[in-house]
Amino acid sequence: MMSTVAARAARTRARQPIPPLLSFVTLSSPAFHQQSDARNSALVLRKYSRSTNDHEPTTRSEEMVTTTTTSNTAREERGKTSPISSSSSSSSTTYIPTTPLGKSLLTLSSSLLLLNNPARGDLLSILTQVSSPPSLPHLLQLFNSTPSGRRLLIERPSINSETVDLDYLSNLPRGKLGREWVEWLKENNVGPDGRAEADYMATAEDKYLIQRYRESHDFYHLLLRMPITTLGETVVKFFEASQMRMPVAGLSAVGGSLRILSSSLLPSIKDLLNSNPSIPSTSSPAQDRDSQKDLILLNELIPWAVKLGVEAKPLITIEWEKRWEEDIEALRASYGITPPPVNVPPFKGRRGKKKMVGWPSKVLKARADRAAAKAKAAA
Amino acid sequence: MLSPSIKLRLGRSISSRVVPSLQSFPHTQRYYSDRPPTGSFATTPTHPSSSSSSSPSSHETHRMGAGEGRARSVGGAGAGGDRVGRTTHFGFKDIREEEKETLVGSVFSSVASSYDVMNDAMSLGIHRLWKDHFVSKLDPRGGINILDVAGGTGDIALRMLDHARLKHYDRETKVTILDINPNMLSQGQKRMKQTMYWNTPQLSFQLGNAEMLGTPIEVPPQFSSPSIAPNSKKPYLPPLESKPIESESVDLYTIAFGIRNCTHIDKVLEEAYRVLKPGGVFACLEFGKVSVPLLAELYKQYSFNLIPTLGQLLAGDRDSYQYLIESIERFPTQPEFARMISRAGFHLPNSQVARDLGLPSFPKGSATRGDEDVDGAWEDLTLGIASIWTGIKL
Repeated sequence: MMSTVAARAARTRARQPIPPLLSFVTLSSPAFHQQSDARNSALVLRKYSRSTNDHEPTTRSEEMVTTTTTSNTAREERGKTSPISSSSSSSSTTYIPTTPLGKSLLTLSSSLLLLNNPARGDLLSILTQVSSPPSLPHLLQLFNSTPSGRRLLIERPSINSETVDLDYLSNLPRGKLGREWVEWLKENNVGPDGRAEADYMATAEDKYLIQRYRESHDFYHLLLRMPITTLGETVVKFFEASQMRMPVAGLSAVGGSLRILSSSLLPSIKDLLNSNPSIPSTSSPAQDRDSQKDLILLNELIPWAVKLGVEAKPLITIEWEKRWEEDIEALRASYGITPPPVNVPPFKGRRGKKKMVGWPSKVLKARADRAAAKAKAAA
Repeated sequence: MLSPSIKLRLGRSISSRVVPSLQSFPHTQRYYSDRPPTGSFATTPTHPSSSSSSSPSSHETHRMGAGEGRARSVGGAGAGGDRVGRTTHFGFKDIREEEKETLVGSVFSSVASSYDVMNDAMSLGIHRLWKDHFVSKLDPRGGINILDVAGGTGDIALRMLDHARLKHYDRETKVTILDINPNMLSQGQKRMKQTMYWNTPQLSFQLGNAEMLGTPIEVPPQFSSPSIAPNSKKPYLPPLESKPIESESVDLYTIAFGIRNCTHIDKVLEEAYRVLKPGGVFACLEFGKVSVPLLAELYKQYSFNLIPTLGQLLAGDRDSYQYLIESIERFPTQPEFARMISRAGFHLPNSQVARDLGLPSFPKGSATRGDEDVDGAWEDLTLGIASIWTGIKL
């Protein structure tokens, strides 16, 4: 079963990709969309080969998959790859079908888990995909509203560590988009890594919409001058929610605000109970003070971000790959992005969990031993 | 408030004294068979008069009979001659220093068997929370050597071992339970026989004097020979031993509810400093002064009215518990004790040195005016009824 699937994939890849014009025609045909769900089994190779389609799938739709396949095979999957998907032909053409009930369950559970542990990137990816159906038409309309957006839909470029040349970008003069982006990446200690595949999306186009949405997120941070802190992320999510109306953006915005609220209000509640030593404190006094400052800043920044989302031109249509050499301030001005009303504290490094150290006498002894060994080696 | 028995005790001449608690009530019924028989300790040359903690150790020698008239060699000969004539406190009584150890010893011999029950009754079970918090604050980990001083019944030792095992997957941490009172130590042995740490290298029992950890104590004979026909009343317990503790051999020194019984607290702190390794932690859990004035008065009333009564009811010994509450009153205040720790050479938790080494810090703000230098050097539990002090040696 696996071998026939693999063989078929090899055959389709060997065929010539359709020229862009024709694929645009295919996209706009209603038949394609109507039949897309019913044809899923034919169009997209299933991750778990539940049904075998022995007949040849229609060439046109198959080749739609091909174009995405050729552009996506280079991309690695971020995070854990399950053995099943990696052993199948190509991870980019896997699809995890979900019923509406499944989608709502996934939305609910992943949002709760993310509230508890925002570092779970895989859950965020799932939430984005699974909660997106109501907002996809609006997102598609945003793409189609400008020529660059329409070009994106056809060409479907991707931004990840393989498609960008970080060296070239760091050599650009300051003030250019590419250079500013690299500086922002360094400041916030992140990379332009490829994000995990949007496997929950039924059509390749939906998949691209989600993929582009997620890849552009870091650029919104850059344009809005927001760091990767809880505060910065929350503000960017408010902006995304008001511009793109994605449910995941709305949920993340609310979730982020809740986190800031709780971490700034809880210490004062603890103070009310007055030094009962049995209640352990998970945050230091410095962190509590930071949270209180964050809350004040949030009050100023949320209205600004929401207003900006409504008034600014759709940022999702920007072809970042073609505009590395553009002046970033000009770009901001052309899209109507105003500077934030307050200064946001920069990213300071991953704090939270304190490093576990050994017993002081053992640490001192280890240091002394190392120093003695070094002295002996030097002698 | 002094009971007639105590007045009687003080009035008698030293040489004719027998075990005080026995003599106090003419017809005291003793129902507990595991009380040590009086006058059963062998005569041995005595130690220098400076002594500490509780013990009917070799100092019992001079208690033989009323008519012996044996002078207290403690007071006369010996290297401790310079300390003769100084007084200290035994609860609210001022007594001669050399007597304290004896009197304290008798207190703990008689309370040993019902120690745990009495602790639960007096503190309404809160002592368990205090001890749990104490151990989790210290966070023993990484296969360290712990010396638990005055740890007779093994409360703290057991908690340390469990904490290391459960939180840090540590089965290499060793605890040495040290106590001056062999009865308490035997009680601890019995308790530990019920746990998984018995007969493992993780546990050892030592007889010793907290003020002189380098000097071994003579083990009374009934503790050096095991039970012939073991049963639950008199189980098989390995003979107690007393080895000197070497300098710089201990990673964590703990003393819980024991330091107030010591005659010379500064000597205890000096010895603690000596045996700790560089980077070693000194930790003390002890009763403190209640911070809220209204509650202080309530607490005082509670302790002076209820505790000796409970002692009489549960342990059959009012005097011992009278001593207990008086000793709590006489213990220095929290800031003063923190200063004593600092004077012994330890770095307090509010200092940068201690913080850099990883000693957990205590919340500041508990010190009143005049005590800012030691603010954050201790932690009050239950509004100051108990307190934790720590220090780190560099």
